[in-house]
Amino acid sequence: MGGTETGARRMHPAGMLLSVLSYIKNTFFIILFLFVFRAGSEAVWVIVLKIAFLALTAVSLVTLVPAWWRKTYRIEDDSVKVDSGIFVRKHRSIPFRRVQNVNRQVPAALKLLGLTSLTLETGAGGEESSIKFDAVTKTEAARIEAALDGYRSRRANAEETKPDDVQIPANVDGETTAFQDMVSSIPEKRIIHFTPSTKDIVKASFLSFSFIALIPVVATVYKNADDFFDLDGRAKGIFSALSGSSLLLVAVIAAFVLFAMVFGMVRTWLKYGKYEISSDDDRIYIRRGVFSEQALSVRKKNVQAVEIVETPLKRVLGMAEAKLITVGSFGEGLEDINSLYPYLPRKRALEIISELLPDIEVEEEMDRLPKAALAVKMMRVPWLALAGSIALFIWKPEFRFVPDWWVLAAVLFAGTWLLRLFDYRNTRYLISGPLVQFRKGGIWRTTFITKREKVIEAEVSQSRLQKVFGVASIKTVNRAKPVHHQDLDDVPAASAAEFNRWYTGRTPELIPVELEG
Amino acid sequence: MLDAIQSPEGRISEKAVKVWRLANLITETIILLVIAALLAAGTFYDWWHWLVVTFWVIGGISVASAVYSILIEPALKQRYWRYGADEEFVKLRSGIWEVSEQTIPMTKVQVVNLKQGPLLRRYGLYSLEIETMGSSHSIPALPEDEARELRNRIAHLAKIREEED
Repeated sequence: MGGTETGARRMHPAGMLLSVLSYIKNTFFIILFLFVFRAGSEAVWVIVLKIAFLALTAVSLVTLVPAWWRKTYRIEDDSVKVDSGIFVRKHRSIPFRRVQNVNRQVPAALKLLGLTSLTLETGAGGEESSIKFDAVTKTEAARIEAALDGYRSRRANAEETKPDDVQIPANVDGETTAFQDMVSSIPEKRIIHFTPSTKDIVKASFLSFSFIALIPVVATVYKNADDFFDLDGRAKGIFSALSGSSLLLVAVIAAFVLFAMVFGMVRTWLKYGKYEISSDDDRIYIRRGVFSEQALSVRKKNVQAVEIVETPLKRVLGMAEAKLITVGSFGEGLEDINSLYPYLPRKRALEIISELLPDIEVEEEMDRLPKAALAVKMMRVPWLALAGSIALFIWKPEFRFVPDWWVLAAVLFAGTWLLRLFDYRNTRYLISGPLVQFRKGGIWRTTFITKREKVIEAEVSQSRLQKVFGVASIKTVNRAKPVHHQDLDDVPAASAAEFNRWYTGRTPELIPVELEG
Repeated sequence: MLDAIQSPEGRISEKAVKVWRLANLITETIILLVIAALLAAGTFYDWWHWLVVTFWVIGGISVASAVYSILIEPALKQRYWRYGADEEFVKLRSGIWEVSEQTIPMTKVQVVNLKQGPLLRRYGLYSLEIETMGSSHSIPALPEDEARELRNRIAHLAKIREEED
């Protein structure tokens, strides 16, 4: 691809192919509209749009090659430099110390060519927050990651060794000859924490209700096919045949259910089939996807918090989903890559967290809210129920089987108070050592755990009502995108004061040097 | 409980009361004028009855809120505001009905700004804005000297930390 080891390099030319594919994908509906539905149209605006679209397409295609040619990157000791732009040159420099995590996204097209895309995420906001290598060979991606690792281990060695970092081989000191060793040595050090078994996939396919996704697919196919064949007519014939024989009806329904189940399983398998959570001393790796591959690698130190989500269904089945809260944002299709397999038994999810992040310990024994909290919760004005009741009073719905408006309003109020009761009964909190842990939600339950050094702001507040009952609210703010706010209402006033001391008790010596800006 | 937490000492300027009174007077006047115009138009052009009733209700609420926000709120808000900045943290405490105390580590402060609109200028005041990686906070209405001193102090402390990193 030109350039020497230290010089500037270009993306793999296949990246252009990918750009064309994504251009077609993004403009698919425009193409469909202009050149299929309005193919024969003589209307002026259609012709103008067609010309505009073709011109835009031509410009995009023509600029593709020079844009590729003029975009180069250089990996240096402590940063990546990217120069791009055909006429207006843009020079970017991203210091390695700002890189928070690394994502790989390998669409099927790239995978066929043995290529990958690589994104380095920084904590910054806006468009400039990440550097994306659209298409590079796998060895090149490994070289970039190794450069990043080399920088990190040098830095870690430079400032007093931590026990964690000792095992990183010394030969990675940026020597290009060492990269290959480095790449091949990674798998040996990595511990695989979880890969789903067939049973897990089957479970996931049911719990995610992915079989329901068959219905819109069938509807779309039916509708499209109906334009070509007279399906409606045939369908009527089939229905009358079915209603004639109950045995046939049962058979058809059974076949449909079976098909839906297989469909759901295939869909789940495509996403989680080659799922793997692994880690080494420094980082956590999550990869998934059978045809199109997605991977996240995040430094353990850059995990800002952990969140455990239990939906009502999962609670009944004793399952939970653990999520890592990290700084970088995730692109399209990567939104939930930070989740550690969503369908795990609760116990196993907690185990994986403690395996991945030894300094985060999920404590099951937490403090409950005081009785006074229940009183405060019940006394808060139920605005939503009030507004709903007023709306019902004005509207006075009159349908069959629908009770009078005041019954509905009563149900609304009862529901509100019942939820508050659940909320009170389920809320737990714990401030212990460097960790703080909140659990919220009556039915949809989330547990949040973070370390003091990861909290970028803390807030304690107390309303007049809370003051009367001796309770208060506490809140943490963590880096993430968007910023993660986590609050907990109605803890005892003494605990709120303790929370404040816990946070302000930190001193600069206690704050570990973070590799971030 | 918040009594158990040592409160920061700094107070904002007493002139803030006048600034807020004036600012709220302007906004409330505009709101009431708009509602009055809608009411007049509604009555004159015979709009739906329920719409006119809604306007009356909103108008009534607005009058009450105007009385509160012009006569009562500014003085209380000024009385309860506290701020402080030591080596490690910026602390902000405010609120009339709900007291809240925010703690922002110096290490996380990224931008400190002084701002002055026309009303603040009339009284020689500045508002100080502190931006972190996550959010932005402001200390409203500080006298010029105090604002500059605080701005410089926070900038200095925040910068020292960054160099240590």
